[in-house]
Amino acid sequence: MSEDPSRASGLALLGEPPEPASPPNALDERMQALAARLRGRGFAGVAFVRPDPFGVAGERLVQALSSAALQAHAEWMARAVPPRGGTVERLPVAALGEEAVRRLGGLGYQQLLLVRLPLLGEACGEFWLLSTSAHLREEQLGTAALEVLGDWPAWREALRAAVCPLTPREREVLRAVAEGLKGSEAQQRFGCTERTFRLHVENAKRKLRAANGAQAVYRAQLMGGL
Amino acid sequence: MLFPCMRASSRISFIDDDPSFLDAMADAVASVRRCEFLHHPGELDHSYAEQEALLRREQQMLARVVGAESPLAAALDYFAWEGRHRIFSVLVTDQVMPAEDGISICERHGHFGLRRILLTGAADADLAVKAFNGGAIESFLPKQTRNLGFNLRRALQEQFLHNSLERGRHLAMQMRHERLQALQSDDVSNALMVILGRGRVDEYLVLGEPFGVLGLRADGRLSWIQIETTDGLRELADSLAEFGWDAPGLDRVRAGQALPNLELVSQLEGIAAAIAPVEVLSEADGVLAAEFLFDWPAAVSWRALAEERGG
Repeated sequence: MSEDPSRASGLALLGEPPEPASPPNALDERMQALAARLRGRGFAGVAFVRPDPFGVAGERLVQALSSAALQAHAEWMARAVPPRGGTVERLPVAALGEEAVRRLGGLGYQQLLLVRLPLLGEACGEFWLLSTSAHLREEQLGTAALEVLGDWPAWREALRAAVCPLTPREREVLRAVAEGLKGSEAQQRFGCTERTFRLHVENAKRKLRAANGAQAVYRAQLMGGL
Repeated sequence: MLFPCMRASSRISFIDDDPSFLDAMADAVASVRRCEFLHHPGELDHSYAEQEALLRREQQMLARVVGAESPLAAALDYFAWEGRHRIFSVLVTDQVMPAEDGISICERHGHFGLRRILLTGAADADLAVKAFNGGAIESFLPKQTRNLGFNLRRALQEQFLHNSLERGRHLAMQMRHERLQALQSDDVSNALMVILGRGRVDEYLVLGEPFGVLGLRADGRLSWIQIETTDGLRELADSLAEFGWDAPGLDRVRAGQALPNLELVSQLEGIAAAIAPVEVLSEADGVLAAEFLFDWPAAVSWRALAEERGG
């Protein structure tokens, strides 16, 4: 709890919510470590694309990239929607269209291994693993995917820390909202009064600029979950 | 008596075919709210058509105030809705007019909450009583009286209160028992009236959760009168502890001399944390309050609208 700066001052907590928009490269360190491991498996480029909690459903943001060269294409990646498929999918870059060939192909990438990890409903965190090789072995694909899957819980935690403005208590309370807990029941579970419970919910809603509890839960889920 | 849970925006229409009498009434009610003076009932019909839609909208908005997750925000949405100023609250009409008599007008214009006052000559007293018993009018006043101005203002005030009670019925119905109890105390009612009068609050809504009165003042500012009961104070202490509230003046809050605007800050964007001195509404019932003023540009008062029209 102590690492959460907003708890340091009650005023900051109640008065001005921290800006939910995160610095674009908050997960950089984690990305560099992951990219280093994936390079050994044949993937030179990695991108992490996440749903935009404040955008229209389906809108995405590029959160982290393994190389500066990819930065020039970040906006395009956020707009480009790879064909809908399974959780782990191998695609030739050409499958994403002409612009993909121009952009990613221009950097020498030929293959894309896409790992989609669900956050809520259709909304996923997407790892784009890019390889310059046209012929990847099944075993390379498998180990790379495992690498990402294994990293996901910690990654998700880091994502939340970077982009979700809620305190642990507010997340806990929103979980109760998602469960459908009433104020009086919350009193028992959290050992606080109904009024405090409502205040936490309201604070969470305001920080997430949510019109109601459901929207707050939705946005928090897209930011790495409750 | 229960403190009225709503003071609605009012639109009062006077109909009389005698221009000089209309002028006299205009003088008598010059300072009272929003009035319009019509020479012909047809002018009323013209603007009456939209009333049902407006009332429906108002009831929907008030239902949101009661049922909303953020009642304060819903109440501010209501104050931002200009349509409420177009809702007729009281109709004052002369009985004897060439085009149509007053009772007939009243019979045609009965809607939820509309209060009708009939002005009668000496010869119409029986008619007025019959209309009153039949439910066509809510009140009648003889025109030939020395203090018509005073009687008129009193009748308007009374009918206007009824109108507000009717329109704000849901606000009271959904309130928790102990909150209603607090509002039933005469001390509390009187003290709240004093605070509202002091700030020249034209319209207000009483909210149950958080508990308090949200009012729109003559100067265009919003007033949140946060009400706490002794039990509520214990809860408040609990909330403060949990949030680690450390605004200046916390000592005064702990000592029961001031209240923090916790809900205001958590439900509305851009409101700074603050404390305000406690005003005791009722010593005997253990009810306290503190008033917080803030600006909410979206809120439109009838005064602002009137100025706009004038300018």
